[in-house]
Amino acid sequence: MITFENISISYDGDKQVITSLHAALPNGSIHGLAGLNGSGKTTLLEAIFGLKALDNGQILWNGKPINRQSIAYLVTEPYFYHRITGREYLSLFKNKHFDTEGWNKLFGLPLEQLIDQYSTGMKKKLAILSILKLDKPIILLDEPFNGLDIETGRVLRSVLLRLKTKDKIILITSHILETLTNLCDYIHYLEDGTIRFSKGKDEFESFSKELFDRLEGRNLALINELLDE
Amino acid sequence: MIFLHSYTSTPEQAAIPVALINSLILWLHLQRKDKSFLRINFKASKWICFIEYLIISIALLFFLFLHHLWYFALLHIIVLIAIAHSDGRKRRIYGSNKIQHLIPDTYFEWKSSMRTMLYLVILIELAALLSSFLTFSIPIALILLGLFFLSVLEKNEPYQMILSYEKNVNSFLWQKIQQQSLMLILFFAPLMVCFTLVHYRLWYLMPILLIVFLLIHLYAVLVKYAFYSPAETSYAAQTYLAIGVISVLIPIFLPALLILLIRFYYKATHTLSFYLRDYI
Repeated sequence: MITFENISISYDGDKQVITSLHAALPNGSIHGLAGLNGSGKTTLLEAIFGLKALDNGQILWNGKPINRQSIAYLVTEPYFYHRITGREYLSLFKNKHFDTEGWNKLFGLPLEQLIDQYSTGMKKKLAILSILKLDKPIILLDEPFNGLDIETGRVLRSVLLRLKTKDKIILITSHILETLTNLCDYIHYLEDGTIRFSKGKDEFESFSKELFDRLEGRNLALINELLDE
Repeated sequence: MIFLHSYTSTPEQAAIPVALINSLILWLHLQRKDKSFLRINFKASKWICFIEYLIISIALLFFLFLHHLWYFALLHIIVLIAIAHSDGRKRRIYGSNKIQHLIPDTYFEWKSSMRTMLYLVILIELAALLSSFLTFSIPIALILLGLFFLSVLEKNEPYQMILSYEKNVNSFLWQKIQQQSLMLILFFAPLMVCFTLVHYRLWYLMPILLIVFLLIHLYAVLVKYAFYSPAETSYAAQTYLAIGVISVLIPIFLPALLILLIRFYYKATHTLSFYLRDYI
């Protein structure tokens, strides 16, 4: 279980991004992090991975301070070293039992080609393959479906659902609520630096409606005003 | 002209203008943008390039013939033919190169660099071996190679690749230093052995050159990670690297290098600890 104990994070000690956040994420579940742009979704993932320092509080994994060795983190826009092939990149990650060829049948990547020649989607697929090869108990995915084609998106969804059964904790961020409602066991909505709503599977429908009504109601009057001018 | 006349008067000195002019022509050939135009419009485009380079180096050839240095003239013409016939285009290499297969994947900086540098390295090594009877040719080649190989460390890798080593800071740094040193020794070895056999009275030059460049490369590794930022090229690192190289080549500045080595060791461990602190 990942436990957030009263964590606060700010940028340059000034702009508060996360404020007094409490949450507990059980093992063997997929958690969605939703929120508007700048709500702190990526910041929270970075804090879990240790790339952002906490101003306050702590993040625990099974009761002990969380350790990077237990985490695989997929960033929004993966970056790779130049002039190496996909296969050479994957070979850096230590997991003798990983069947690269088998997994690549699902993703269809030209692993002998230089990564510089990959499209954005192909780079995302390569990054996902590396996450799978790492085989860590905690998987953090920042906008994992961005740039993926329909088939690969379905493959990734199936893979994540299967990984959940291996007692892993998977945390996903997405701007698209439907992506999260179709996949996650819990969705946590970030607003004003804290988790405003945390909903389980059976509450997704009402939660989505509630959220859309809230956001749309706020904006509809202004949209009408602007378009009627 | 005076330079060419005086330096081509003896075989030992003639290597310098020949090497300089060949390097200049090679650089010109790699930089020129009209190769595609020539290739499309002329069947013998490579010979056209050769004739151009011959014209550029006509003064050198004149003085070589004047001083009866036929061997140098012939060598120069052969090098010009090789340069003119080299493609100079950025090739899409799919890892099928045999040398790259031999390089382990953890040496990814070298794998990456050899994709663009390999032909130049082989050219330099071959030229040095063929002209090994000249005292200066192999030391000059080693200096050129030692400086070229610094560019291997130019680009920073993403932090995921640093984490993939799963080592603590000191183990990681030590592995990087070992890798850099090993590759340097492997590329230097053929030239060093050849020089020691041909100029056995000057055998001590090779260990000295090796130690100097191992020191520079050790410094380069520490500087790289002292200023490491994922996916960026650090201009500060490049500046300090240049300072380090100058310090080694001008012995009076050697103490400065030693101080910088210690300073950048601590800075590198501090920078890397942000990423590797969880590995014991």
